[in-house]
Order: sequence, then C-alpha cells, then structure tokens
Amino acid sequence: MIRQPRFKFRLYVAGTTQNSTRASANLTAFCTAHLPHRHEIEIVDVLQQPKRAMADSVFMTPTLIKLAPTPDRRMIGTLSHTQLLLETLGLET
Amino acid sequence: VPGESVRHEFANNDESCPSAFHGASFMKTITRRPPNANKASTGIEGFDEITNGGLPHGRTTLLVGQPGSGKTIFGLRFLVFGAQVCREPGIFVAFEEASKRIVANAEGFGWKLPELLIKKLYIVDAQPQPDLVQTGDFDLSGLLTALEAKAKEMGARRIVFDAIDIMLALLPDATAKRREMYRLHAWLLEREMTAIITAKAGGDEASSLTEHPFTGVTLADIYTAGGDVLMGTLRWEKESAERVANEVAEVAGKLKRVTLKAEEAVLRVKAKSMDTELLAKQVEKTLRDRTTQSRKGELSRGRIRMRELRGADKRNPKQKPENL
Repeated sequence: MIRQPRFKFRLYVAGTTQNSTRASANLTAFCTAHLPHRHEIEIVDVLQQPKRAMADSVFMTPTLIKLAPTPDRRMIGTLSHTQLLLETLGLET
Repeated sequence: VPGESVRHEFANNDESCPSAFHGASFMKTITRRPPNANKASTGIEGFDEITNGGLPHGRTTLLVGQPGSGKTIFGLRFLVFGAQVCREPGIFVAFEEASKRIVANAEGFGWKLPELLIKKLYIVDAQPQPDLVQTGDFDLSGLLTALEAKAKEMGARRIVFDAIDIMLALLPDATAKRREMYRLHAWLLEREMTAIITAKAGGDEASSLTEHPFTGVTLADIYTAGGDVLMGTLRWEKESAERVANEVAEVAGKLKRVTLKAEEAVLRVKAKSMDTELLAKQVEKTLRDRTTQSRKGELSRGRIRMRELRGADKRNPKQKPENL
C-alpha cells in the first residue's frame, strides 16, 4: 500500500467575518471529503495575532497556506470552488 | 530654497513691470502664508504651492496616472518629507514594487531611506504572489489589522497605498471592489491618517476608484491634463536626481582612474626594485662563480705545491746524507 502524504494547512481568518467563517467551513468540509484522516488545520485569527499575519505577509483574509507537502501554496478567498482546490493541491486524479 | 528665488523674481518684476503687479501680490500672499495646519506638506515646492500647502490633513487623496508618471515617487516623497521634516512617521504599502527596489530608487534621489527605515518609515511588501490562487471573495481585514498594530507601534501619521489596482484586480466583482475601498477609506478616516492611494489610469480598477467619494482630492485631472506645475516639479526632481547620479558616476570614474594610476606607479616601482634585485643577484652569482673558480685555482695550486713538497720529501731521504 502506498502511503499518501499528510496535508498541513494554516488558515488566516479575520475574526468571525462572513468570508472567514465561510472559508473555515469550506476547508473543513473539503478535508473531510477529500483528505480524511490525513490533514491538519491551524486557524490563525489576524485580529488576535496581527504580527504573525505581517510576518507571514498575509494581507488578505481569508488566506490559506498549504505548508505540507512542499512546496507552499497560497489561496485567498472563501475556498468555495472545490474543483479549483483539488487542482491547486494536486489531488485531481 | 527654490521658493525663495521664485518670490524674489516676482518682486523684481513688480518694480520693472507694473502690469504684473496683481499676479505678483497674489504670489506673495501665498508664499508668505504660514504653514497651513489643515494641510500636510509634500515637500514638493510646486505642488504645495498650487494646493495651498499640500494634501488635506487626515484625509485620503487618490492619485491616478499612467505607468511611469511618478505616482510611486510622489507617494514616497510625501512620506520621506513627513518623516524627516514634519515629525510624521509613515507607512508605505507596496502592492506592485518590492521594497528593495523602492529603497534603491529612493537612493537615486538622494533620500537616505535606510536611516529613516529604522523608526520613521516602514515599507510593507504586499505584492500578491504570482501563483496566488483566488477562490471566492476575500477582504482587507488582515492588512488593516496588521497595519493598525504597526501604525500604533511607530506612531504613523501618513500612509501610502501604492498601486491599489493590483489588489483590487484580485477581487471577484465590482461590489467587492467598492466594499473594500469603503472599508479602507473608513479605516483611514477613523485614524485621521493623511493618506495617498495610487492607481494606474484606465481599466475597471481606476474607474471603480474614481467613483468612490474620497474625502481628500482626486489628482487624476490635474495629473493627466494641464498638470504642468505638478509634473514639472516631479520631472525636475527626476532629472536632478539623474544629474546627481551622473555626477557621482563621473567622480567615481575619476577616483578609479586615480587609484589605477597609483597602482600602476606602485607596480612600476616594484618592477624597478625587482630589476635592481635581479642585477644584485646576478652580480652576487658572478662573484660567487669567481670565488669558486679562484678557490678551485687556489686548491689546485695548493695541491701542486703539496705534490712538489711531497716529491721533495720523497727525494730528500736519499739526498739528505749527501747534503749532510
């Protein structure tokens, strides 16, 4: 059996604004459907940790950073297009 | 100070040419007026003059122009002057150019950015990555929260958003673009920051911007049509910066020539001393050769003498009795 890579995400949100809430819901749903038991999500609220956002050059919220597997990839927006997510993460079969 | 000389010229005209009297007195009232508290001076003489002291204080000014017309430099000049002269630290949000390039460009103008960058000027690299994927709507809350923290930390009073069209182009629709401009503008007003937002002329982004009712002025018209005063000033600054750069290059060239000449002289001296050394070695060698030869000669002479003496000794025992 080939061991599939584990996905590590960091999602920058801005409190409970509509876009941010949508993005985290969409990401959770996507991971449950396409990456079951092989994903990790860290959610960072820029309102709580503005310096971290600056250090990571995150200026638009929501911003999703795929940290693993390498290379890093960035996506902005509510993550509403499942097909685009699959393509960007290289999960299309 | 260029302003002084302008005033002086008008005063001269006043005496020699009575018909220019009205214009002259008008100029005098402008130049004699104390710094306007409602205005944030840009440090660009011509611009401050035609705007009666600079940009509206605590308000947002939109600057629209063609690529290469000097929008970035105008914004940067506004921040550098604020930091150096008006005790108003500033933040530059760069959506298009990398901060490294901005700093390098500023050095061409003779503005010492690295000194200011420590406390009074902060450049945010906000260029979207080329491979950035956009899926759905987003907003600027992240940027504004990060800027809020930074502005508080350094006490920033001025801010420039350079090439906002780059960021606006990523937003999915006109509604989102309008909403984010509104968010940005409201944020700026609430903090009473004197701001400049620049954008490229033409395209959807610029038109969505010019629709927005900014509290400051929109410089698109003055900038693109009949904006000779403003453009003249900026052009003059650009040209003088180029002139300075050329002069610096020339001096550097001269200095290099001098250094090369000195190096050449040193090498020449070295070559000469090496020649002398070579000569000395040659002399030494011949001397040594000669010494060896003369020693050899001496030795052989000595040997011959010894042989002679020995020969004499050998013969001596026989001859001795005879001699005795």
